[in-house]
Amino acid sequence: MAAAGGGAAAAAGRAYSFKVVLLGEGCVGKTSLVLRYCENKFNDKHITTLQASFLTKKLNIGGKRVNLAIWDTAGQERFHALGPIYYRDSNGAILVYDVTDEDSFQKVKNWVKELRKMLGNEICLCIVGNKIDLEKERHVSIQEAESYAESVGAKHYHTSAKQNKGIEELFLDLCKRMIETAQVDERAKGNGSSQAGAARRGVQIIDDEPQAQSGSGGCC
Amino acid sequence: MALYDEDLLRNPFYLALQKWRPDLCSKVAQIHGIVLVPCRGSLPSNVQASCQFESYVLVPMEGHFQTLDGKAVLIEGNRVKLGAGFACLLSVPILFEETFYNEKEESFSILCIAHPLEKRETSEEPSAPSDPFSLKTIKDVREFLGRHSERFDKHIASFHRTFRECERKSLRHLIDSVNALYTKCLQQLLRDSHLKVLAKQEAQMNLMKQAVEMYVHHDIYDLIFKYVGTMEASEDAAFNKITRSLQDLQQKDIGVKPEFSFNIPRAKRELGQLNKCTSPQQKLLCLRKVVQLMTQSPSQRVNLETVCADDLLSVLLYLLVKTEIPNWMANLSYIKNFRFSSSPKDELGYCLTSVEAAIEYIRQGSLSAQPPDAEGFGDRLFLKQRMNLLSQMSSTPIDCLFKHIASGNQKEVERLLSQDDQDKDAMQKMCHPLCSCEDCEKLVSGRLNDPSVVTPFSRDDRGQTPLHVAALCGQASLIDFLVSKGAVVNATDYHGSTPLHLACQKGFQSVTLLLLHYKANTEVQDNNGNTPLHLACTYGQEDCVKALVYYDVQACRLDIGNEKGDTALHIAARWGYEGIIETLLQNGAPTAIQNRLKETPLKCALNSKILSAMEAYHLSSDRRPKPSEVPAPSPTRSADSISQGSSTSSFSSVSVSFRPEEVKKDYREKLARIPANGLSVNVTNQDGFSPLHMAALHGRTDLVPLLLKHGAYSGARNTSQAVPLHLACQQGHFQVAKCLLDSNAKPNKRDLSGNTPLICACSAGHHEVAALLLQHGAAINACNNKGNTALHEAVMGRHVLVVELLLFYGASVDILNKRQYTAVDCAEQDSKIMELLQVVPSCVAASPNNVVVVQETEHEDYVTVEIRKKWNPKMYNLPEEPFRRQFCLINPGGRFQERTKSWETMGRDRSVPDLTGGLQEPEKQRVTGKQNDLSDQSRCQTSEEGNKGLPGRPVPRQAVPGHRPMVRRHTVNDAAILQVPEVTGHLTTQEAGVSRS
Repeated sequence: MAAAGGGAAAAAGRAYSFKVVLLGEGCVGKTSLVLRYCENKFNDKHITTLQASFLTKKLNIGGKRVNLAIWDTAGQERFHALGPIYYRDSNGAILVYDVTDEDSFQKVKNWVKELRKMLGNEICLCIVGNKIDLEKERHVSIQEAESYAESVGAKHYHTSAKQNKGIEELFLDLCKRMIETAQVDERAKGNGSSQAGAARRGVQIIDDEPQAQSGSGGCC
Repeated sequence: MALYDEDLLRNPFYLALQKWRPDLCSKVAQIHGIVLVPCRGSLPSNVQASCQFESYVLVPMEGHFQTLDGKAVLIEGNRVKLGAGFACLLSVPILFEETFYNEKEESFSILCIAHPLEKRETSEEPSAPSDPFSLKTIKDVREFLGRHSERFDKHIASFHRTFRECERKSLRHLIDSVNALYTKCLQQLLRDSHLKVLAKQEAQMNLMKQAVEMYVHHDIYDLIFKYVGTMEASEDAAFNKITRSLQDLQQKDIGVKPEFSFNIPRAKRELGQLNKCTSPQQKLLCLRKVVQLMTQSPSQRVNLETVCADDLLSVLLYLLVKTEIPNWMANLSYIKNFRFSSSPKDELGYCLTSVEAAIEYIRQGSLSAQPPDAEGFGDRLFLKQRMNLLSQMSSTPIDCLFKHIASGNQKEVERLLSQDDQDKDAMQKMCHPLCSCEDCEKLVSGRLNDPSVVTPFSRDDRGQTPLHVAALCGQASLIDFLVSKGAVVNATDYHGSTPLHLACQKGFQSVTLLLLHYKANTEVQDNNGNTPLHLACTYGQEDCVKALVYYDVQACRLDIGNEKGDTALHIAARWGYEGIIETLLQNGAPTAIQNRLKETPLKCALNSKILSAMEAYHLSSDRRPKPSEVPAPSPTRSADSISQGSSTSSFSSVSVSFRPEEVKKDYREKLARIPANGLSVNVTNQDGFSPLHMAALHGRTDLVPLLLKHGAYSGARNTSQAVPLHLACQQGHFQVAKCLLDSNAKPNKRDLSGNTPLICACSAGHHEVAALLLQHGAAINACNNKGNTALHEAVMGRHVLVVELLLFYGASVDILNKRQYTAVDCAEQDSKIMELLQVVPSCVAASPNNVVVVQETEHEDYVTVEIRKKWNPKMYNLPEEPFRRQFCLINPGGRFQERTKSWETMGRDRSVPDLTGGLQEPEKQRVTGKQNDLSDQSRCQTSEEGNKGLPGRPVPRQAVPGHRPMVRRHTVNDAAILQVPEVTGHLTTQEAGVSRS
């Protein structure tokens, strides 16, 4: 297929691929959260069973393209030991708790400890208090949650999947932080070896211009 | 849809929109609208400013969209449908969606569509992009690659040649080698100038990568996957053992939601195709299809439930356990390590991770531990739950009994089964056994009608006896108790399983050994043709395999085929149980038998590690494979069966199959290998012949000492249960026989026809060998299965010297064989042998006593016969067992004199009751007999199955109709045969006493 180039040539862009895992107890609403963010309204009428365990999203933030892969994880207690298999090589983690359930917040704390222990400080952590539409039944105070998030280097968000509140901000902010982390890695490694360096951290940079083209003159 | 991708920031249409209509961009962001952007390939060379951009900006409405200039648009699935207001009602495919954020962090969606909305522009520029090319089969790949594949073949051939160097290197080295091959082929492809242009698009580049990977892996799959399978062999075997033990698992045990049950059969069939895929990409596509099938909504039922990771994992767990894929670990390693073309973060990577999580969950034993509050064995809980369910309806005595057996409550079991003893007490309360007065009648009817009575023969609704339950739950102590109460060791449930089947399936070695001790039959085949050995191999129970094989190495048959024609070795090879395979091969399991699919165990090998282990044994132990041999399911063969042919014919047929020159060459080669290869000196061929058997058969006096020196086992038995001494005596090889006897070969072993070496020698007329045997303590009056003694055989063979020798050593001339013939009856009239038989006994002092016995009156004969009949079963059974146990204890020491003493002691002990019973208490014997008859009938009424396990009881003479005299005579003659040696000893003793006085 011949590509007809027209207009001014744009600067070469790069696409980031990020893996984000969803962690939290079974009934805190993390599935509803991600469905609300990724759902295509025009798909509602034709797919009767929504596959919610793996979802993707293409973003363009400040001219940077991002391919976001959102991995649901098994939240039941009997599957806890399988967590490392899911969050291996993750760029970000969204830890969801129910603001009306103190125990679910405690679970989030356990996950944070495990993630910091296993993945270090490279992973971007988002602690999400979901179901803020049930504010009257809140059992986890905002102050407590936000101070905890700050103490572990994470960021706290308030969402309601039911009312579609706070979700857009959550994902946009997470992507920005992941892009920033990736860029820091690129600068630290230098331009020449950025691909190799990033690959070790699980960030894959896809060059649209292969090296083989450097020697040939194409039409612009 | 996911395949196509482009950078929209370099799309001419979008750039033009930003340049000339920035107001539209701002507006669409404010309203969170949608912008339709035709893909780059579908655009004209120059987007004009007059283009109607308003038609491409959508505002969300209730259930549909509207363009900024008021036209109606409907988005269904992955298509944009143009409605009212448009010149033509088109339906445009959507290629992908992307969300854009501007500087104010407002977001809008861009849908990349296949072509512009106006039909006129389409006709002006017909170069619309074709549908995305999808690579599903190797045929698609070849079509996609075209002529480039020829150059790939050269690289692949080179890889094949150098692969051997990687044979002993690590997995990482192998991964790097394959990756190098993949990179080389990809470089070759990208040298094409046309493809170089296509590579600018990410989707096209990915497509090329996948094509190269699939093509390369298709050609090297056999090498690579076999190698990976070898490295994961032990992991796969361990995993298979877990999954095989979970076959009773139900969907609700795992937490599978009911709405997914409908899709499981189709997903399972798709998963079964995994091992037919060759490249990691194809295997992943198979897994993804499985996921899609299991989460797909049935067409008749609309289900808006969302599928989360917990749901997906539960169904995968069920599928992994139920789908018979024997190499999950190898597949997982192969896909993870040899996938070069895609990112592990995409959807296929998620499918693989889900499968990996399910495998890990199974490996951790989490499924076996359910429910979390489980105590002890799962089968005990299973039975408890089942008993609880039954007790809610109506608890029966059998259920109570089984419940106590499962929980190991021996006191309760003893209490329940002791009610049978109360029956005997009830009988004693009767006036006399045949009394029919009112009180006695009430006692009898009460006992017969009591439904709470249970016995060791009771069965549940699946045909299982108490012994089955004890074996199933590993209650070894209860095995002893139940057998002592008369439980039938070889009873079968309605699946055809004996208790030994269940013990071997569950892996209870102690129960297995106990059942074997109580004469459990190892050759019983269940409804699927499986013997206990088959089940032990299927479920990976190595301890039970060893128990079965080593309990009696000579008797354990390793060549029985099940319903599918599989031997135990087929099954162990298929599931990769290396320890079991080694045990089977070391004990002569045949490797050339084919099952119904014409597969040998070698072909069933799970991986090359198993295959190489089997081939080593195959080459060393069997030089004459018989690929055409297909074992039929073997019927259960009783050890008491009588051989149809004579022993002479049997051995002759064996002799014909071997030529001396061939045997000689074969033996020299094997002997030369012993130090070099560590070949076992006791290996056997398919007929069970060890090297010592062959040397004995052919009289190789030079080889026999050499083999014995290297540890050859002189007690080894071939398939006819003949030891080397049998063969030497049959052929008359005196020196070989002497060498064997001097090496402690036992002179009284019996083969399948019941022949001792002495009988073999006498039958063939080898008097020197016979004399040698007698000097070493051979039993002179032993009988074979036909009842013939050595003297019978010698007389029938007209061997005068042998007859004379036997008579000189005291052979009895009056023993009857199965055809009621004595040795005298077998002799020809007026022959030399007849003279010997008539003359020589008169020289022996015992002769007058024999005459006296023969001349007893008919009445006295009846009394004598009856006395013998009453005593024989008890004498034969009860004293025999202690003697055998004592014999086993003495045997390891190999002390001949002590065995002789024990034998003499037993002989003396057995003669005393005979005298007492015969002379003093004839009437009491009759009364006892009658009581036994009543007892027999009551047991028959209790359970017919129990009757099979009881020893046969002789019927009183008075009650026998005309048809049965033959049966009685047969029994009497058996008793007579058994008694004759003792009578002789007794008479000899008396004669000695007389001599002294």
